[in-house]
Amino acid sequence: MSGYSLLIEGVSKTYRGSTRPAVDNLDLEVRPGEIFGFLGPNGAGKTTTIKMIVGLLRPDRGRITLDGCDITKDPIRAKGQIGYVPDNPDLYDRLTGIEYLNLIADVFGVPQAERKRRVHDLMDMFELGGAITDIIQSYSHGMKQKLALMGALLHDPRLFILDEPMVGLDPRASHLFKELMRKHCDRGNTVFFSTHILEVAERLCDRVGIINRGRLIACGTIEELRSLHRTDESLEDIFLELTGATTKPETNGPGLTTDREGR
Amino acid sequence: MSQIGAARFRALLWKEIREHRWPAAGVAIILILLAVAIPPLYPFLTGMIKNIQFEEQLRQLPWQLRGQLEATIGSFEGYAYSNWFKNLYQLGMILVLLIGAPLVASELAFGTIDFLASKPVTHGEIIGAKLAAGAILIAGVLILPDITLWISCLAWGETINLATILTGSIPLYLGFVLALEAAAILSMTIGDSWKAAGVLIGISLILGIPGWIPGYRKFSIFSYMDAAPIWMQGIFPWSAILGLLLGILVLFIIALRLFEIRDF
Ligand SMILES: Nc1ncnc2c1ncn2[C@@H]1O[C@H](COP(=O)(O)OP(=O)(O)OP(=O)(O)O)[C@@H](O)[C@H]1O
Ligand SMILES: [Mg+2]
Repeated sequence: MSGYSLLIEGVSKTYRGSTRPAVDNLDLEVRPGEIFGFLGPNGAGKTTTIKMIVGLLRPDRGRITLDGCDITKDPIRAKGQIGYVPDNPDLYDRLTGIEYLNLIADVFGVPQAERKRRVHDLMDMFELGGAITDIIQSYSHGMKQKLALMGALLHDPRLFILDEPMVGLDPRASHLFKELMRKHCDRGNTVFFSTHILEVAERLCDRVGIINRGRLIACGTIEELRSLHRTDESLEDIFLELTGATTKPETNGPGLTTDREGR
Repeated sequence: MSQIGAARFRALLWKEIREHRWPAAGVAIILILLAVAIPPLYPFLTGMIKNIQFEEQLRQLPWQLRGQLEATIGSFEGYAYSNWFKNLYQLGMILVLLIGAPLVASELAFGTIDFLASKPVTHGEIIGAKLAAGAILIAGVLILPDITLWISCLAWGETINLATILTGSIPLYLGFVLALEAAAILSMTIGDSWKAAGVLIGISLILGIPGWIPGYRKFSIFSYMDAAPIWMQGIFPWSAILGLLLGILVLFIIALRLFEIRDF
């Protein structure tokens, strides 16, 4: 046992046909009971990292262990600990909500009694009760998102991994969801999620990591990041500064200039 | 541990069957309707041919067609065989395309492969469940109409052995499973349902070419699927069956290997 829920050591990934690595020599550790926020601008490598953590992509180099379990060497055991919600959850349109949940429970081997109780609790929490026997095709985007979240929590995963989870949730659901993440961690589990919503990260996360162009450029509690930058700035300011958005106005391109001239 | 593995596999199998049951049900219904219609049409057809003194015109037909027609009218068995087998064969191939071409490609297109591949199941279990579900559905689509044909024959006073009808479907079935595996492999490597279907049709046509050349019929792989020896001569085509089984095994290993090394 490494003592870490999630340990990423020297991981790199270059997509086929690309010259620049999407993730470049990444080191990261997340401890049990932590909510970890993974931040970065578009194309920074967040989704690529998450896909490697959950075993969808193989790292070119480096090692990823979940609760001491190597995801490439022992994928079945490692994946058994994960509840994963992708950035744009694509569900099986032809199954009903409850069929989808049962499929997941079967795959993870959740016993019948516990399954019933958990489905019931989750349905209450996400207020999806009425639609659970409808086919998924008829769900709205937010309902699909809720179902994906329910599916990811059904087996009470040690590690809850989410790629931009707030997109598509109404304020009520997103509030509920934040509470749920907190509760999940309080029971000794770990949450790792990527987001663009910095206020959420600021309020919810025990620690955050900021990734830019595939490299981790900052990692720690919000306080640590602030003290490093000797400011009491908001996370947004730190983020913008670190990722170069304020220091390099030329990245905004000529479009902005013409726009100004036009006024 | 292996018990959990079996439960996982059953769950995946169930999901695949649910996803592909509609095309299978559609083809099954068409075949059942045909099975109901074939026996009562026989007296109608023979009667019509006798009435209009067909003999003369028959002699002017090309030999393949004439042979077929003569076999068709000659006996009820010949008639039932040629009509049933042809329909089973053609509709079965369509079903193989409907199930096989999107088997992996649709999961890639809709992104649901991320769901499967991030769960604690092996790639082998995923592709194995897909192929098994297809094989089960195709078996159902052959067996139900076969039984319907038998009942329909009885109802019209014609006796054809149920065992003959079912045994006659075995080489056909194995051929379908082989084609399903080929479709799955194409679906996985090409990643597009329509293109995979197109390539499979192309390959099937090329492999079928020898069947059109007199004397070279045995080099067409489709001759292995023919039920004629069973229906007409009561001979079980062991060598054809063994050949098909070997092909199924080889393609299964290829499909497993290809899926195992995939990145998603
Ligand atoms: N399938 C792919 N093939 C090739 N390159 C890819 C692929 N997916 C992502 N990339 C590239 O890898 C880099 C990282 O992408 P990634 O999706 O991980 O970013 P991200 O941080 O999740 O961005 P976003 O905030 O927009 O979701 C980008 O430069 C992107 O262009
Ligand atoms: Mg992303």
